[in-house]
Amino acid sequence: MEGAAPVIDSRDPRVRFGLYLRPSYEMSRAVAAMHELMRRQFGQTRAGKYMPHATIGFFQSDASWQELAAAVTPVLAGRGPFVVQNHGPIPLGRSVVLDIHHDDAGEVNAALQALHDDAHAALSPLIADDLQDRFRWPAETFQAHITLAQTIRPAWLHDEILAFAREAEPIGPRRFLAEYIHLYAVMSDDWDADDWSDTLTWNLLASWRLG
Amino acid sequence: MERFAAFEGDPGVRFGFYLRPSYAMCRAQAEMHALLLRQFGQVTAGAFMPHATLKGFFRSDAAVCDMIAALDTALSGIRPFTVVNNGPIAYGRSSVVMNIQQDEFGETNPAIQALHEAAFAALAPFIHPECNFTPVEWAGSSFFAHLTLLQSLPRPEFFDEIFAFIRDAEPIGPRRFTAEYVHLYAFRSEDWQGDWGKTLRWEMLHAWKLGG
Repeated sequence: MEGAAPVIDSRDPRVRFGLYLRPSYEMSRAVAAMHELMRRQFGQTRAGKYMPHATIGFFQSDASWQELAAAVTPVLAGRGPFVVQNHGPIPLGRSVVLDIHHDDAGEVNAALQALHDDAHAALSPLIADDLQDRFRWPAETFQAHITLAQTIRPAWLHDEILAFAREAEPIGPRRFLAEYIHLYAVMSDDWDADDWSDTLTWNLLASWRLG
Repeated sequence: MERFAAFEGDPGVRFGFYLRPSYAMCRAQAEMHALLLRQFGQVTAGAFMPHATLKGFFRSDAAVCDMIAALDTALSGIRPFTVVNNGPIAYGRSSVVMNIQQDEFGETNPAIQALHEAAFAALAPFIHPECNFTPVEWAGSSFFAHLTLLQSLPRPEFFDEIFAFIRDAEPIGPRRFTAEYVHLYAFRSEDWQGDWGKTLRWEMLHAWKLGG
């Protein structure tokens, strides 16, 4: 028997939505182990507040999650699983992430980029104009990644943590199959606060299996 | 400096200066901490980040910037060096540590001893006269470099089993690793005179890369 549908108030300012690619078991396990070490060794907890994932989109919307899911479903219908290449840890802003944006030939992973672009197009009409500015996710700046350490603080730890992550290589398999897509509600008491992740919680709303 | 203000002049704060193990050693130690928590409910060692103490807990009223400046000078000529992991040993019947005090030949590792002595000398002028940890610290010729797996076991009757469990896990981490990073930390606990491990919290204040 299915459980009751989650009740999420989209107008609650604490609520954001995340459309995420779930990595394979092996990749999930490796990323979760790194999150745990980042907490234990460096006190870095932000990335580990999330489940292991690659962001397809993160946004705010006044639409119900059922409307969002209904918009995503046709995007994923007929789309098969595809291979994701793991190119290891790189710096991304103030974070350290696994680069999964490129294929074996060093070109943008076309299947992943297309998934992002199509999902973006489907969901954009459900994101209010005044929210688009703040939570835009333009195709041209999309860079697929799996975060190991997010918004590292203090900032001077960044280089040491990047070296630590590179020492841990290989982190997970060199390639895995992208097979499952998830829609989450992600909540923080104050997204504008420095410590937004201290109150972070999440709720899996919908899951799709490609193919 | 403003970011250190919360830790300065507070009698509830202790400082510590530690060597960070390599990724592989860190992972092995963290996994053992997690297992000792899961299997035996032991939390004290795992309340810390994986580390080897170079200068243990100390109280200080000094400015953190002054401590950092003193360590900048003390560490300036110290290069990365090899640490040898000699496996788990017992400290009495309450703690188990990885012995990293000796080199390949069973002699004191001169590089880690020198690092300890340089750091201790640099920080000694900043130690509060009423510090309750420094007077009983194993320092100088009594220094013994280690990575703690089990700390302050409250029930010694369980010690033999836990020690055997840890030995079953050998080898724990790599046989040797490069000592490359050292860190200055601030700690808080609700009970520095008693069971401080139960409420221990920490924050990294500064990091140095040896030779860098």
